Amino acid sequence: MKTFFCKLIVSLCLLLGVFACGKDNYDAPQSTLSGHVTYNSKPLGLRGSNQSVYLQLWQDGYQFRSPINVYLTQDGSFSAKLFDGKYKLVTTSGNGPWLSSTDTLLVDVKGNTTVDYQVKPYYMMSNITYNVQGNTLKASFDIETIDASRTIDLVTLLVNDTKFVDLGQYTYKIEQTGINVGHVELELDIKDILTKSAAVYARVGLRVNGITEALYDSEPKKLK
Amino acid sequence: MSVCLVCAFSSCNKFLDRESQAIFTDDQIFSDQNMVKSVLANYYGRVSWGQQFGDNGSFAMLDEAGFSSGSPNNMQEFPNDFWRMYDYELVRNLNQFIVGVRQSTLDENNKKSIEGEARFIRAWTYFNMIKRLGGVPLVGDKVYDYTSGMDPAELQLSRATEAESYNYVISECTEAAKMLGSDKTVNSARANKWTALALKARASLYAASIAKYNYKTPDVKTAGNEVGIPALEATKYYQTAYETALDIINSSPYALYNANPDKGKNFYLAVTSKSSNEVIWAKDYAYPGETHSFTNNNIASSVRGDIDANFVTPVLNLVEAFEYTNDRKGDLKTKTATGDYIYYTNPEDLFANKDARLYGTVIYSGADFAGTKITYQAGVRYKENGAWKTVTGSPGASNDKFGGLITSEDGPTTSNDMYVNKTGFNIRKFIDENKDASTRGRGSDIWFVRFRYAEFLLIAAEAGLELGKPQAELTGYVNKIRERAGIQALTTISLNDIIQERRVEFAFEDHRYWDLKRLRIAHEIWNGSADNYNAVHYALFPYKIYAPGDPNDGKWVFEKQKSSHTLYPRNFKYQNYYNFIDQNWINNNPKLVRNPYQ
Repeated sequence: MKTFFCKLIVSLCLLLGVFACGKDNYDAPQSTLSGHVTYNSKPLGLRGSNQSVYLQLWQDGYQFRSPINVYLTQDGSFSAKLFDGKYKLVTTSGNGPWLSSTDTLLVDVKGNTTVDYQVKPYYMMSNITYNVQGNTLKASFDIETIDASRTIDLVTLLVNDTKFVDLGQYTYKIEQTGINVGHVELELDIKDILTKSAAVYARVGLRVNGITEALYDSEPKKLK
Repeated sequence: MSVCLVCAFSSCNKFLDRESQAIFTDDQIFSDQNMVKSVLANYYGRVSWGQQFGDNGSFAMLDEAGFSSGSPNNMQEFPNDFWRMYDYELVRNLNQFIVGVRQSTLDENNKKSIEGEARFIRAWTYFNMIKRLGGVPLVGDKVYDYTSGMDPAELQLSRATEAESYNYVISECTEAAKMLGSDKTVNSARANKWTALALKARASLYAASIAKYNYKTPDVKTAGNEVGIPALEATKYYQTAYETALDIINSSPYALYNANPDKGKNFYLAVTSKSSNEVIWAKDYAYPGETHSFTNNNIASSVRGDIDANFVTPVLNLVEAFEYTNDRKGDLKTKTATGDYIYYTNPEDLFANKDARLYGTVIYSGADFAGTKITYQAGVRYKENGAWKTVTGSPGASNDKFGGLITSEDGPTTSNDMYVNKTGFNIRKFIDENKDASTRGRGSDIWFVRFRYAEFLLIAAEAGLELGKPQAELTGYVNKIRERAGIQALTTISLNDIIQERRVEFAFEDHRYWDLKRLRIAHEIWNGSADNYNAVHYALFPYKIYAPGDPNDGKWVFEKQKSSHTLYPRNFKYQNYYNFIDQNWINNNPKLVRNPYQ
């Protein structure tokens, strides 16, 4: 009698195991949210390495809230795989090189969605030129003030042997402080990297006081 | 079937209702003094955070030392939860304990001093949270309980301002100091009056320097002052710090340890030996039972007792921060003005006339450890056809062609080998000279010093400086420390002198990170720039000369180079001044305000 019960229980358990659980996993998210961080519909150049600059996506209606960090790449673009739904896209004060604002962008993700996130930087660089003369790299650009509430900490010219060039990823750089608005010219000796590396990329950047991340040229210039 | 299940779940109900034999009731605990003591011991064991023996890597995070064993460390930035702690479980336990002690039948004097100890530990816990997070919720003495059906909002407290939080720590220390005895405690392991005052002085200094210097980081504050202290408060805090530090200097039973005539050895003993009369509070360890593996992990190869060694080794930057006896600039003289090597007969000659604390803190080439002379040798420089060449080998390799030993067993190398030195130095401070202590099985019982007398001389000097006290008085405090270190006395001091003095005096004692933070200079010193000597780790590679017939044969040259095992410069961002508030904490308590840059 006892063994009968044992067998019954064991077989019932097995049956449970076989029939009870269908797969209850969600399918992986299918929709992509992508876009750029822009000012006047021009994308901003940023630090793309080391997950430095990011936007955050929040979704209401759940008990626990935690943001999805959407990391920005060096040309100011972002993309995230998401479930369809309504999201809020925000920036974190002091993270990117732009004025902090509490503006929230409501995004309705349905299939592949493109949305640009408007920000207001403190300064913009325009007319950026790079010029190699012998072993010297010359770069020039104009600084335009958009909001003078922060002063310029430094401007910089960087070179690296990969396409990723920023103040965290560079081989050589030159920095200048005490810069005001107007025309800036920077010169860097790049003899070493020109002879040693298979590829050379250059990029200019501008950092304001009080914000760690700088603003860069939106596209590094390929020198070699 | 169902009968069977019902039987299974209801049969032995008496067994389930038995009283536990392993859990004591409150009455049992609070009626017995030894039980109370062991509960207290539990709390003392739970209050190590930041740089501490439980986290060996914590010593390699700053500009004192780097990782040496194995492959290079690729930390690029300080994470947003760096050394974060938020321990309200401990605060609640302490509050339960305080209630228990107050209602207990212990005799009144005993009750008072035990409550004082618990309140000191609670203040220390808060202080550690505040210096990481800014203002935190202050729960006072109340033990919060959740009963089902109650509104959880009652349990959700909002953050106090940073100033209020420091005020709470300071007033709790004042109260605890009144309740505690003033005698020294065994191995400085338990709190007494002076420990409470020590925390009071340190907390006041931290609050004061934040108030004075947070203008340098105008964005590092919150609208409700949960982060940021108004500049007006600075003087009040400096005054408290100054008076409290003087009280400790003048009235406490502690003093600068000066028992050993050898100044270098003396400094090592002052911090590391339990006979030191300088230490006010330490995390004590004891063999057998309560040991740590700091010695095992970080000892030099040639004196190790086990396979482990060199997990974390000091960087050149720290060594050069130590002054010369008559020269305030501590740079090691490895090359002449024209860029040629300077040849030294003995490796230790390079370190001649350095601050004696260098010997007490770091093992450098030619220094002894527990009677064994330790010589670092990265390789041999030899002459071939009139030209200088360099050869390096694996640790211990030798070849007669190069006059014998090529690379010392103690390194340094740039390889990724485990347990091999990569910087050319080893830590001496807190390293046990007992060889058995460096084995995995035994471990070391050296204490970790939290407060010692020298700190209060420097607090008196710093607070006095900010309060405009006469220079003669201030240099008096600092020169006591410098005299013990065997270096020249100063006639005037500035804040930078004090920062410098603290860096070398308290290396590896969990001060550096917090000092740079509270003075708001961390983002300038560790600016993430690969060209910045302060942010990049450097190593010192000694080479022996093999050139028979050459006057420099058998001598030593030294090469300063970027450390191969710290890949990135230290990069302290504005957002690192305060840890981020974890999203889970906010989910549990929506009243918590986020920190800056979060």
